[in-house]
Amino acid sequence: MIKKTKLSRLLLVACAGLLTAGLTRPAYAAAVDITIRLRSLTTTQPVEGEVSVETGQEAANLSERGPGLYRFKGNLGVEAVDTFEIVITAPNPFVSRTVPARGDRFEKIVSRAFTLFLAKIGSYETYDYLDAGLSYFKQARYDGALAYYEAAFYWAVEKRGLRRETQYTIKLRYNYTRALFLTCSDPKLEYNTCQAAAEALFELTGLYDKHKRLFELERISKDELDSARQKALAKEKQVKYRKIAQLFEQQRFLEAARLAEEALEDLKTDSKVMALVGLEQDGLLRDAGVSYLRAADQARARRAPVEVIRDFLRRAQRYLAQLEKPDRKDRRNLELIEIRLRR
Amino acid sequence: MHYVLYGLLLIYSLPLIGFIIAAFQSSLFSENAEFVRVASVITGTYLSVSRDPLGNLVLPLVTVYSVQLRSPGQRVPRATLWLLAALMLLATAGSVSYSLVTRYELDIRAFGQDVFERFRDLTLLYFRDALAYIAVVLGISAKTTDVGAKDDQEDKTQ
Repeated sequence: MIKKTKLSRLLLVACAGLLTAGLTRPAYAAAVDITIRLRSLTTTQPVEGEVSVETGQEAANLSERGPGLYRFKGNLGVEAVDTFEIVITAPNPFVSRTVPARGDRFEKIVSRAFTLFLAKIGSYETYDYLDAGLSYFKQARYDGALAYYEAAFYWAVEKRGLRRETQYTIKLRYNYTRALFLTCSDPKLEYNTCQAAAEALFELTGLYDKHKRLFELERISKDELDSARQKALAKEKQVKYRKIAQLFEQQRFLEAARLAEEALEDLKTDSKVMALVGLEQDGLLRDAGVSYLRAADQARARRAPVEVIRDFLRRAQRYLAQLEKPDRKDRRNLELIEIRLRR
Repeated sequence: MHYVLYGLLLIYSLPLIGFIIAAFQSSLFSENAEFVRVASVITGTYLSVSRDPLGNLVLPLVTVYSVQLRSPGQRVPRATLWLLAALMLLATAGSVSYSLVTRYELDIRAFGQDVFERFRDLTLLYFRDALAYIAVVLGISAKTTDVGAKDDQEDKTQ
């Protein structure tokens, strides 16, 4: 037993802090291996421009490895991050763009390959322009659709200020939002555009009552906007919390437990969205409880201070005890924790 | 002659009437109404084909012949006043339409690249033309036929 003098207490706190921090803090540097192919949206021919990657901590220029082919392999800061941006400076007559992509703070090396399309400067102001872009949705070229409508959207914000809502602005807003939503929800792309899509959908829903006729002319219903918003938010949560299972499989129990705790916090504020992802209270409580239990095992194997192990066990007990419908395995785990805590 | 003039004025004003209907039907160009494009095509045809002969030649001539000369002391005939009112209405409609076109430029451009230019040229043209016709009508109706009467008197004394 640890003698409870001031010094030993201090040591204990320090050990617990180090162990906890060591296991929960992003364990890796922001190592990336990114390959980008730049293509013209209309001809799909390679386009040469300037490409850089930014994480918020650092930025790096990608070197050209061939016509329209760019690559960067190295570190982008001291901590791995969940998101990064690809900034493309396009040559004339193409439109420069910034693509919000997903990293992974739990991955050793974020290895990604993108084929990014560049739209040409066009006559954005017409209904014909907006109608022509619909073909990219039909062909499931969602990155192309995003590049196409993004160019028009930024032009409209700058030139028109989007002060007066017309059928044109509603159509533009809707299709741009649709592109944001599809690039986020498409499993091949999974851009970090879910939040932007949800915000844009929220804005559209706000405009609906005031400009109902314009939405009706475009055959957009309020229910459709609401449901798309829920889906965008759900996708964001899904991408974030599917890592719980992966981390558990990789035996990174403490990280899995912390992520499950975050999910439980989210569940309190956004139960509707979390239900759409299939994340329910009992499942997350079980994830958190079992992960802490395994983390306690791991800490014991690493000969961590007893107080740290007991802390993990108490957390596991707290989560498992909250289960509404505990099964036999849960009850057994609770008994196990009880026995260990009594020792 | 007045019936002919009003008939011609109506034909002459058709593109402007089309523009006004288009503006109403599209709720001031905020809705994607097909009639805006139809009005734009009518305007294009009018500007390229019939505007010059109609606006520069036929209408001024018919207007000039329609305005009655008056003798000294005679009041301006009612028909001339009606014609002036019609032309003023046309000028006002042209002016209001022009301000609508410039105010909603970006919304009109959404219907096609050349739609805005056509409508702008058209509305400005109506305003200018109507002002010119008003000047013609006022000029003729202000003039009295006393010069002719003096000549007659001189002939009699000789």
